Amino acid sequence: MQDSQIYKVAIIGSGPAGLTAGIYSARAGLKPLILAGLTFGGQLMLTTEVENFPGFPQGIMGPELMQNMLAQAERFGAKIVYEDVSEVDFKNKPFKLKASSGEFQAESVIITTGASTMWLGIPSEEQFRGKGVSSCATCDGFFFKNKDIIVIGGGDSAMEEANYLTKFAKSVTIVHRRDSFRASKIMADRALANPKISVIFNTEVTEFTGAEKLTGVVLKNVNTGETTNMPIDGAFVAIGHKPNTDIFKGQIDLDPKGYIIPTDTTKTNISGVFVAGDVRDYRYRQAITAAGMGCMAAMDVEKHLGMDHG
Amino acid sequence: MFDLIIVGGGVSAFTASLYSARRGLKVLVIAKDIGGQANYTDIIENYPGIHEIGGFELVSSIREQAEKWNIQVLEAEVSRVKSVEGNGGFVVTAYGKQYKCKAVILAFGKTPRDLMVSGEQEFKGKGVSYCATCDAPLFKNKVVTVAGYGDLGLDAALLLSKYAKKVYTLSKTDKLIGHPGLLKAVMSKKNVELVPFIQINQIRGTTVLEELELTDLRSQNRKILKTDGLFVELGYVVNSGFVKDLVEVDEQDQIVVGPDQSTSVPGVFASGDVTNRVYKQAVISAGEAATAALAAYDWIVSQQGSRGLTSDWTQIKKPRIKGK
Repeated sequence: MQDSQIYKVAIIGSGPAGLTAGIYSARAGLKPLILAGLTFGGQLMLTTEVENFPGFPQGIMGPELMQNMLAQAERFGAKIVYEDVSEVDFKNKPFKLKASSGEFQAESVIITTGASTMWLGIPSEEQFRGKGVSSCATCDGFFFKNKDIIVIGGGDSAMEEANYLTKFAKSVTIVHRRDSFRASKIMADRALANPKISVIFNTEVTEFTGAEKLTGVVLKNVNTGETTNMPIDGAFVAIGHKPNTDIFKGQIDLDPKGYIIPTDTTKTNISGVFVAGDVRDYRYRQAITAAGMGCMAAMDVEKHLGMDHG
Repeated sequence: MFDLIIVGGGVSAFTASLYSARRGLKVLVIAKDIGGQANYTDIIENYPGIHEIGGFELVSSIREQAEKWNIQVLEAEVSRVKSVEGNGGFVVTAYGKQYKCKAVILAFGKTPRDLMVSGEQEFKGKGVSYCATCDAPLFKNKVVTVAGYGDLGLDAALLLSKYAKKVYTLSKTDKLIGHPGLLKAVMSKKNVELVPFIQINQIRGTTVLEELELTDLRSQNRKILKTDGLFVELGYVVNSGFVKDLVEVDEQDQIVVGPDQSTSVPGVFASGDVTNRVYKQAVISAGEAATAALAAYDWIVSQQGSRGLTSDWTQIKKPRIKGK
């Protein structure tokens, strides 16, 4: 079915940046279209408790926070479509966005597609995904009740996953290829204080092993080159993220890592296309910074449309 | 010695304290007033994730959240921020006392514009108010006067009419200016009276405000208006005077910041309404504050020779094998 309407603004993505842009542009009467994707809510849907979103002293569950934002955007009149965008055309106006039910047209676009989990990229990883190898502790943690598992990575998300997994697992071993963590002190300290968590530094996972299901990993010491087999029941990969910008290649300027670099506040090299959230921010990546940028993008859109139409 | 001193007491200041304290920094927040700009907002309904919340309530909840991470809060007015020669950090002076720190975040937002009339300083908080939302309930069945501009003044008059016995609204012409709907609502209130062609000369009283000396702009005659409260509603300014000799400010006295909220002085960051960013919203202030806090953390650890965003403990520290 073809949606013949030309939206004033279309928002691609539905994490904190996208939904905040939705709240603000809807409240400004722009009747935004939010192309939320098949799975809405972004990375916070994969987290448990969010302790640092300002305004929630008791913390809030990631999915609940996102549900609140979605309801707010809808209350102000945003239209939500649960489809992934497969193609965009920013060459001519109105901009065209292709999704599964057809093509959508908009005078302006806010890109808030965020970033996704990175995988190790070793051949056996694919083989055991869903059979012991996961990137989402929140989703899969409870399958590992009383089991021995590893978490691969050394950043905040690795610490968070490790802590969370101790609720279920018998033991959690953090495997990190460097000699110290990149995680914040508070997250690292908390992980270390947990009696169920132990740490192996300077070590990489080179292979996942098992028959039907994962039963072990091959570890390699990056200093000595020595390899050892470690029997485990589960492995969680938490080594970082990459921007979700595949559909924008050739349509908008991307940096070498694939991030969209804003020219000024949330503007991009295409007039009428704006960007907010993790898809432009590889450094701070916080829900509240993404939300702040989403708000700015909505206000930039308002200004842009105002200029276009007098 | 603190790691970080945050100047301000609103959304931005407490969000910055939350993020920096969670990084393990020793943080002092110095606030002239708690609440900041959010105090002037009744209900916020566009803060993402919260259906509806009062401005002061939002700030209080962020403060409560930050206090879980052992921040210290001092209610005082900062008069000076001085950089110590040779990377010696900063000295912040508040009410005559000095506090040392490694980095500073300026998040003191905007402050209401003064009327600039004799007696104003003396009776601030003693009858002279700059926030109808905050103080209107204190003037139940009293006589109040609004010296306001446009919608700001009308908003205040409308709110005050719900509490006060009598609300005088002063105007330099014979009418009030503002949004037509708002104007109609204000004029329909029986206890609101327009005082035309008038200017305030002096604010007088003994211990608290008692009367205003006015000049009739047509006749130049002086007259006295007895009032229990004066609400000054003239908008907001950035009071960055005390840091003007430290950091770069723009023509509106707003602090100039880069993408990571850094100012012209390394180690000094700014966030929220005090910056030269065009848009002023609670969620933007909070987002900028998180960035400022993380950037300040990065700066502090980089000064200590660390590579930033790295834990300060290491269990196993083996020398790295070079060339392999």
